[in-house]
Amino acid sequence: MRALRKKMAVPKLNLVPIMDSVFIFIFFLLLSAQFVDIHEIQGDAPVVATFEDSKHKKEPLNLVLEIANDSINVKIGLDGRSYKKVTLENDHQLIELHKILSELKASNIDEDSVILKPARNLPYGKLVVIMDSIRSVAKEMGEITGTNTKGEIIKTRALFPQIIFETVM
Amino acid sequence: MSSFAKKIKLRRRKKEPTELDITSLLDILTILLVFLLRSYNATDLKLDVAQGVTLPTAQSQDLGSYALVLQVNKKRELFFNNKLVTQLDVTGKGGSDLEKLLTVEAEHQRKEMAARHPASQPDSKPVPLKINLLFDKDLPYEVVGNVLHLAASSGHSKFKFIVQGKGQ
Repeated sequence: MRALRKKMAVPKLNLVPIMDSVFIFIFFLLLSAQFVDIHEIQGDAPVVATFEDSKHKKEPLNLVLEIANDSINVKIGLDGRSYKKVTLENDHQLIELHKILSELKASNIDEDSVILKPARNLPYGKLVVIMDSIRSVAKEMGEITGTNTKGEIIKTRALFPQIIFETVM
Repeated sequence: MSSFAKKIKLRRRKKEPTELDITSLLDILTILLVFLLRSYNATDLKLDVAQGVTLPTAQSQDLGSYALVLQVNKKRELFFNNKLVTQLDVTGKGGSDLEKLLTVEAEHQRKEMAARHPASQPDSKPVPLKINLLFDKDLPYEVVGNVLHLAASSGHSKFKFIVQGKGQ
């Protein structure tokens, strides 16, 4: 019995080839690693678009955000009427802006674009925070539901991802 | 066989190859592999952030893609593909050199695109070109807007604002 046990020794696994490949893999990963977490926010320069004037078509939302250092004026419509104004004292006010935009999105589910009119002295960092918050719905808010022009019910997590700069000074 | 030869044979038998215990090394390699896989970036965009550029943070998860890279740091120094081109004034003007560079680059890109897609009509509307933009977070919009204007007027109207992830 003892002799039998001695004969049935556990064979050693040859890990050398797999370890070779793992080592090469590490080398390539080291070369392609990016240790700064970099992402992008897309924006566009304004383009000329034609709007077909028709009695049956709904007026475009034409959402415009006039961003000053301490407030954001939300304007809508072709005449650019003021919809609401948000003061920017802290991050809490951005949540308010988010709610306003969510309301507008729910009633205009087909609309994707927003035009930004930042003030000349607005720091770029602040502008990025605003751009970031108007692109999609916050996780805790869930999805926005609305009816599109064809009468279909649409659920989406996107707010106004197409950011256009009225820029061009 | 002589006694000397016997002794050598015995010595050879005794010297079996020693096995190196590399288990701990392999453990380290595995952990390293996990961390490297986490930091792996699948995009073709490689960025060297210029000195004096502090990127703003955002929650965006969109990955960047290869395109021209324009950077403006705190001192309003303008870098075109990591090369210092000019220093903009307080209002962000003074980028005439950049305008020329961007125009040349746009022509070059359009020629490349035409060579790749010869079927496209030359009279058709020009395709907007992409540009990666890195601005210091404290720069006023006046400077940013003027750079955007320069980029857009040369045909680079698809702006990609590069930001730092919130996790950093």
